[in-house]
Amino acid sequence: MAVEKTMPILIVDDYKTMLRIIRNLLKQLGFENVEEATDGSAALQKLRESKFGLVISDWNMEPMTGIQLLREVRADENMKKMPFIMVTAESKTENVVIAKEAGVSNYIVKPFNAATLKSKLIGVLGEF
Amino acid sequence: MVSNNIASALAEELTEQQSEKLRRADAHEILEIVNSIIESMNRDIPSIDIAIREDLQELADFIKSTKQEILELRPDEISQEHLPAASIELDAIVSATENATNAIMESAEAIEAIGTELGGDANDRLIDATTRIFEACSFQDITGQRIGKVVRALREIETKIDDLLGVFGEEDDDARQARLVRHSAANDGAADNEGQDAISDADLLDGPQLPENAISQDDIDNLFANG
Repeated sequence: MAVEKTMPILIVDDYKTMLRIIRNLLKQLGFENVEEATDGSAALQKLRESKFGLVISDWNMEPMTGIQLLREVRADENMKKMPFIMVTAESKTENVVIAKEAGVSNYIVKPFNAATLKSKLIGVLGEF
Repeated sequence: MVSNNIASALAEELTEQQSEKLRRADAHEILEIVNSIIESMNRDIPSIDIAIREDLQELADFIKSTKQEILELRPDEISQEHLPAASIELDAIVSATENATNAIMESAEAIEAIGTELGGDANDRLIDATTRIFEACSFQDITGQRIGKVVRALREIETKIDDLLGVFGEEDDDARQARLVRHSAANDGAADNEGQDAISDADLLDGPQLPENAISQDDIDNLFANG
């Protein structure tokens, strides 16, 4: 199935500069329908209000972290299959293992480049 | 040497009267306990070995001087002035890098918009360049998180120093007075050498000021205009 580039994407990070970076990189890849949240609970609220095709989330945020958000998403019948990419500076093996166990679709460690983001998006969404 | 009867007298004193207190004691209380042992020995065991009395007196003096030495390091200044000041500087770094990063990205976005107008190969090359800029801007997130770790470490140190202050208690009035007199004498010496209002070269090396404390270019221009 072809990737619909107009699908809404939710990006979640407590650093506004990082939200702006990801938004710009997504725009260069052709994804311009992007919404933002600055922590897990704000993201969860948006996810429950409307339908998104992909979540790209940081891990280390307050009050709700990215891993808590992921668990909430996977526990929700309507969102349990939603593509969810973790983009985080948490680069310990156990973090990756725990995220994988919680059902993350892919994991990008910061700092990352546009090529890595593109390859992970292709891996999760399919070729575009 | 400690004779058996004196040793048992000491043990009894500690066990019966002071052991519970000693377990929970801070430096000041330990000093009180040692002094009370000396007093009770003088009262109850007048024939006590003079060497033991001297040892106990040395112990009391040692605790007192250690307490004073630690207080003279001014741990209160570290926890109340230096560490909070360091945290404020670090917050200012995060804020400054955030502003700079946003300004850089704003320009990159403007360049990208121009690329779209130009189209073709020029647009492709401009997109490549702006992509590198966006990638590089992620330094702000990473350095911000690292600085956050440093701030948390400083808070931990602050807590430990406060604990230390709790154990060694406050400086007593005599000790504080003695320290202030010494400090004042040292400053007078410096003033004699450099004049009463002299600002040393070291005083002028303070690095960038926090935005709210910094003098503006307008203020500087005014100083020149009035000079």
